[in-house]
Amino acid sequence: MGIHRIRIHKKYFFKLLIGMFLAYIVGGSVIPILSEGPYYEHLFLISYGGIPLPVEDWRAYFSLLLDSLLSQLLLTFLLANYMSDDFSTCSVYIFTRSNRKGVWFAQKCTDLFFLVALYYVLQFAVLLFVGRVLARLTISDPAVFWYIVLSELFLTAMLSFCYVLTVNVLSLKMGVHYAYLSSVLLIVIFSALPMLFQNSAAVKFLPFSQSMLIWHDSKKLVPYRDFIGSSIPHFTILSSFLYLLIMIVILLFVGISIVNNMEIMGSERKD
Amino acid sequence: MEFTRLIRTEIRSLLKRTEFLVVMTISLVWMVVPFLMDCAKYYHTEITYIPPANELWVGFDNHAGQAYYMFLLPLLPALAYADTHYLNLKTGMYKSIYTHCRKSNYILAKGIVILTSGFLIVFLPLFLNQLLCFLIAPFQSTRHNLGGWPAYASYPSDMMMFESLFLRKPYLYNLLYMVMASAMGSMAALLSYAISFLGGQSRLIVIAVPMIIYVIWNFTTEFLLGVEYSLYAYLYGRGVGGLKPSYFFVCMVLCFLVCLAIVLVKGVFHKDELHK
Repeated sequence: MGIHRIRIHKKYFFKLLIGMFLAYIVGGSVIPILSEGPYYEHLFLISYGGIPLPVEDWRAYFSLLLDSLLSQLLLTFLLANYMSDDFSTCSVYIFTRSNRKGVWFAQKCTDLFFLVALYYVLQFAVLLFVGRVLARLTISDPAVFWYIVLSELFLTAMLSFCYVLTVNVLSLKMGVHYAYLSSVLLIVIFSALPMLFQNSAAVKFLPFSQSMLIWHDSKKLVPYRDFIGSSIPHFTILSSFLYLLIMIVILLFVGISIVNNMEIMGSERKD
Repeated sequence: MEFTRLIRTEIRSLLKRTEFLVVMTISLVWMVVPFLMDCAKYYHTEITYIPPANELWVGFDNHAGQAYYMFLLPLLPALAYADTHYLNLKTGMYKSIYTHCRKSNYILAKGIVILTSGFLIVFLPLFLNQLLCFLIAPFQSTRHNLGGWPAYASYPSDMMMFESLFLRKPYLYNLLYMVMASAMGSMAALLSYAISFLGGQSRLIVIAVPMIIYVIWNFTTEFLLGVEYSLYAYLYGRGVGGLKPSYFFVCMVLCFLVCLAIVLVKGVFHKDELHK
């Protein structure tokens, strides 16, 4: 069982390396606009911090959205059949010997979270490399730098994990093609909604807003406000963290319930 | 004769396919929602204050249209019918089909129906949206969707690729953009079909790779070269500055030729276990 998992990790690990190419392009395109603040904090805030507020033109919003969404769409694609592949090949052997489907599901979720986090860690590493090589960027305040990097990593990884978990759970139920379509629709709709609700308090409760670090009301980001735009009042990183945690817990319960009610012998792949 | 029969059979199976119906429903709903939002926006508005129907069209200048063109356009046509050849190969159904008709005829007939399905999935919802716009907006108006333009000022059309067509025949202009977007849908479906000939991949790869290629292409070209090299910029009726129509058509033709080459080499001329 353990050896099998390591083999799957390797396969998916190599797939995730594609994300490094995207990070290289994002970093390379952001560096020319960092002439006023040649620091890593600026690079990370612009590259992965989110779309600057207020959004006046929805064409510009969609253009910036492409930057944010590509990473998530690619990740969802790369990990979409992680569970369904394993379930269709191993379920007959595993679940006939041990009836603990929930444990299998929890293990898969842990693996997926590890892979999602790794995907972004690799991208951030590329961004550090690009900043150093192309623009000789430095860190102006180490405490703020780590605050920005870790907040971005957690918020982005957790939202992406929600999407990846959704596509995997749905793929067990309806086949990976419909699951991927549903997830893409969800991602696009969730991402477009903040533009429509940007002037109302509802924007704080939209899933996509949780991953936008620069929308959060944080004292540590105040010196950068001229650079990254305004924030949403009383929208804290802790509340976003809890929001995403609750979403993940709900998805886990839904997933466990679906897996427990699935027929092992009748689980031939719909794809 | 056999070719025509195969086309008819493929069209019948296309119209009965659940995926086609689901994708068409999603596309139609996606196009009806912005119309309903416009209905709410212009409810109780004087007719002279409503922009013309050609400017209310979802592909002209609308956020739902932009989201559709940026992300969904290549995925929906690929899902509708393009993966059927992959399923035939995977289930072994192709052996039964190839013994009843010529392989080349079957592959080409399926290719034509897949191209058509990709076209219809995009064209019909866009066309429906334009028809719906006629219900709430006048044919011509002195107002524009950018705001209150006086009657003597024309719409800022200098960024449009086909400016003279827009000024003289605005509805033909919209039809041209519908056809361009539908051609993109056809190419996505054909690319998906071509990928299914490159054995050893999953169904997800067959249906999702056109979208991933499209989004990555748009992303990299926009960041590295400029928006005029992103394909989605060519689909907005409102226009984006600096576009070169030849670039779009060259991309479409190149994509078509590459897909055709894959289908011919790996499908029509490829020796399988039944044709050695």
